[in-house]
Amino acid sequence: MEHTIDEHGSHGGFVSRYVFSQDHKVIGLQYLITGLIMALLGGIIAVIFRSQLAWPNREVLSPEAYNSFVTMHGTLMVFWVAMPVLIGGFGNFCIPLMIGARDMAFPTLNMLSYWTFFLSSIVILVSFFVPGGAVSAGWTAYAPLSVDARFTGVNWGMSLWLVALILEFASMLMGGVNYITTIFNLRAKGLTLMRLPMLVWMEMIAAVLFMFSVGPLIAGGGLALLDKSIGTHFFRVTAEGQGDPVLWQHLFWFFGHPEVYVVLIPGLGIIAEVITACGRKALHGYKAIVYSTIAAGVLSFVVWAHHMFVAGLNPLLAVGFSITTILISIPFFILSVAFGLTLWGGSIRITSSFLFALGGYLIFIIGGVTGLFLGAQTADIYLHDTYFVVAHFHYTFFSSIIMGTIAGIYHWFPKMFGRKMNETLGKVHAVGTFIFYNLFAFPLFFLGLAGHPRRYSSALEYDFLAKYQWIHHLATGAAIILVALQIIFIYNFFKSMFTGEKAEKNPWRATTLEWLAESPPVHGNWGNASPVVENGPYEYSVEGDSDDFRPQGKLIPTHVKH
Amino acid sequence: MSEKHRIIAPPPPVQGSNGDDGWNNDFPDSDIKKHNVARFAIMLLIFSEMMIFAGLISAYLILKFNNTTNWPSAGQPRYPQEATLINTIILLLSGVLMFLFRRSLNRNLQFSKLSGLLIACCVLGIVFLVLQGQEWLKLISYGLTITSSVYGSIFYSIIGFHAIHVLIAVVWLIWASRLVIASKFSGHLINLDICGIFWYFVVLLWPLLYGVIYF
Amino acid sequence: MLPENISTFGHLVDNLILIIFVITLMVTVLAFGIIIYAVIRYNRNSNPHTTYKFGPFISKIIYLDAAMIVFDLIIAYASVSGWAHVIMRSRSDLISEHKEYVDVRIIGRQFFWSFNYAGLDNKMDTNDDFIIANKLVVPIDTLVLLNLTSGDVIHSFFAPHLRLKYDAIPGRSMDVWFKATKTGSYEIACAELCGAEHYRMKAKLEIVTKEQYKSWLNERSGALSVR
Repeated sequence: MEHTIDEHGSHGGFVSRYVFSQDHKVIGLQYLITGLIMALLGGIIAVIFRSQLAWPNREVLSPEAYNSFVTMHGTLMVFWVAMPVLIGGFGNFCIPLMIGARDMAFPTLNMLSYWTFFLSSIVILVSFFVPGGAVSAGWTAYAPLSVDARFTGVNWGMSLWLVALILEFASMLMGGVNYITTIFNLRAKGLTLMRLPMLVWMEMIAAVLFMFSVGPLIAGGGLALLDKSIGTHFFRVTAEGQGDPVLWQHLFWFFGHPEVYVVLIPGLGIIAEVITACGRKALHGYKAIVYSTIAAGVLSFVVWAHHMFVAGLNPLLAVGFSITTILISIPFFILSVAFGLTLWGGSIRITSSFLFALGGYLIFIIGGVTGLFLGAQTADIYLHDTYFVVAHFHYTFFSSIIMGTIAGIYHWFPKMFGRKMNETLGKVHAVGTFIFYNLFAFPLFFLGLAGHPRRYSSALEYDFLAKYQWIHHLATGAAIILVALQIIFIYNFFKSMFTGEKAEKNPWRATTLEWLAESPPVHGNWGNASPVVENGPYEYSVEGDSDDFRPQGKLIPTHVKH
Repeated sequence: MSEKHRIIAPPPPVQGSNGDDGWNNDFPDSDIKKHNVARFAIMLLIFSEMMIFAGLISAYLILKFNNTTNWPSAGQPRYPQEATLINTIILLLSGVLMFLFRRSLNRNLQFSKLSGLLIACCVLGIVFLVLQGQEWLKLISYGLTITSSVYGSIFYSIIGFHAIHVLIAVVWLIWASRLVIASKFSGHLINLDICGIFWYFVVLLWPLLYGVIYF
Repeated sequence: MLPENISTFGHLVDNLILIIFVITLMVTVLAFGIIIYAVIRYNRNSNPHTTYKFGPFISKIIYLDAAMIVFDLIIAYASVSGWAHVIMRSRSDLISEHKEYVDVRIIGRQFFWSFNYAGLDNKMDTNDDFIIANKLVVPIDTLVLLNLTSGDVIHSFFAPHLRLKYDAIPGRSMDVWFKATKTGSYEIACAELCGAEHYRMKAKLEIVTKEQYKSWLNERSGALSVR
């Protein structure tokens, strides 16, 4: 464990400061920017294959390429966007600042984590260009389709996919050890667990969920790699041995369901931070939110087979899994009500970050309630693997991965770069993103109800689907505009980075500790002082106070020996 | 880590802060704290490793359950239960040695005695690996390979994955015993400690694997 | 938006979807209304000052949560009872309840469905069995027992009009059933990604009258015995 605290802010040259840096803020930004580049890539991929869906007769993509693109879109968005941005990016940037630490518990491990992730990103991108193309078995990579090159013609693509995935998990495991250790051990004086900002709680719960759930998939990935490369018999059914294809699904989804909460709840944490700072009001039901998120996390370990209701699961087991799945609506319902009550009676500043947080919150509600359709196993007989599923998980993921992330970027941009982003462009971006996202994703629910199976490169083959081709036109049009709109964001991001309005320490007049640091914070975060926490994280508009917020703590000078 | 970075002095006492369970962050370099943080982290790592093994073991059980009528697969040798029993005892013995080593470390006994315990522990680890390798060679000569059947695939994967852990732990132990022989370990107590914890994990996992897989 | 229902259990699925739709629509509209009202009513201009006071959370959440639990119970009940009817009935139970039935073994392959009929004697693995590709012909109002398996990768037998979907997995065989209520020609799709031509791995579902089925069967089996 190393603690490189240097009150003069810098040591070493450019490379050790910005490339192989051990500073949590630099690593956080590295994660964030890598993730956003991957997001852009994922978005462009999505636009390409959506064009194929809208105009199947033009043959935008061959069926093989279509499957590859769909697979890579899902893979990139979940593993190379959601994880690095929400866990790697905001986790690294915000956790030490919010808990008043000078850095992560293990800075070297942290650096190693990023560079392992970087390596995995290279591997996954390279897999596009190997003979046979990228993996085309869906992001869930169901065996035996995925583990035998005879079935898809993809050989190297799949091996690289598995290698990249295992590298990525190794990276996130290093990160997870770091986050949990840091949060438990390096909190500032006075910062009890129940005074942690909500984002820190959410990052911690997400890291715990990830660390406890990823093992079986690492095991499964290793076994699949053996199947793929040397011909073992885990998931393949051959003359020599009866492997079990469904075993892969169990291993995948045992990780897969906690994983969707891993990428969901940090986004909700960001939304909580933003709506309190903009609403000038304490987070209502703080403890209820914490406990219900923990409850949802625990429940998420016993719902995985709801992805497999029609995959030959024992029907009695399916009943159990269905009930646990429906039960999970309760903690998330509590959480949503708490957010709503936080807005109620506030004095809301409508900023870009607030608009994104609000949009994310509304989208999350739709994503949440539509989960009930799929959790009820009898409805799932019909809706399973249709566009209804696609629409549902886009609503849940988008709320956190895109809306939450962008809300977070607008919110912490001043802390990251010492300048503010342009608010006008930000609001246009927010409203546009919300409208066109809904125009793109909401119609997909109807396609699902009409029985449109997912991962079809053309709907025109079927009479009962061909009449809904207009929905594909609508969705594709909206998706193109949605991706194009992000140009505003990219422009705003880079323009503001260099020429934006200079931000003071606490531009949003928020309470949590990170706003006590300089913008951007110096190396070691607090200089010659260290924070001491005196009250809860969201003491806004306290009666009798002259100001409408009471910072969570204050900086106490420390004696620094040289 | 150089002395240059150990710069933070204790802060003045703070008035009015509530009683808390938070760490005082201004002692990031105190040895006790570093030690606790490292232990915490290795426990987290071991827990996620255990989940990997849990995944593998459940894969084994499911595959076995699916092939109950054909287990071991036709024409394949059984797993070597008796030979591995000796191996199990050897590994457990090394765990006992590690226990004794850690106990005497706490009591600050003489270095010579300490290094003897640790070296014996290493040697037993290596013996375990060698015997395991011999068993594998024998099994392969009987026709049980990783691709010959489901029975072979899962066996070599799980036992091999554990063997990799033993190998890593043995290398770590050799490095640690080098420190102890050179009597340099006072500055590396944390490393010795978490290395020992990892060895416990590797040793204690084995009887579980032996019980579940071989029988 | 749902396609026409032509099976005896389709209404269970449809009703469940309707129940959940009503509940979720209520909840969503209410939630959106409250949130949007809150944002308009309590923004900085219309409510420049706010205060720190708020009552205990539990008193507000408890009724809402109770309502949510009731909704959950309704959904779970409807879902489990539907499941018990559609999926949880064993093949032998179904056979003992019905005098006549049609037995079809379905094998999914890249990229076609083969339907293995038991022939005139209605027994599998006898000489008069016959196989046809991509066409499932069954009589109306008759129990149809399907046995699903796959020859290569995982496929999923999906007949949207029957509200029936079940995976065909290599190395496993799975039983499902249906009873059609309307004659006509419908479509069967593959719902689990199975390779490049997954999107057109389709079959015809033809539901005919019992007489038509009998003559079709005779014709088919006859053609076979001549050979």
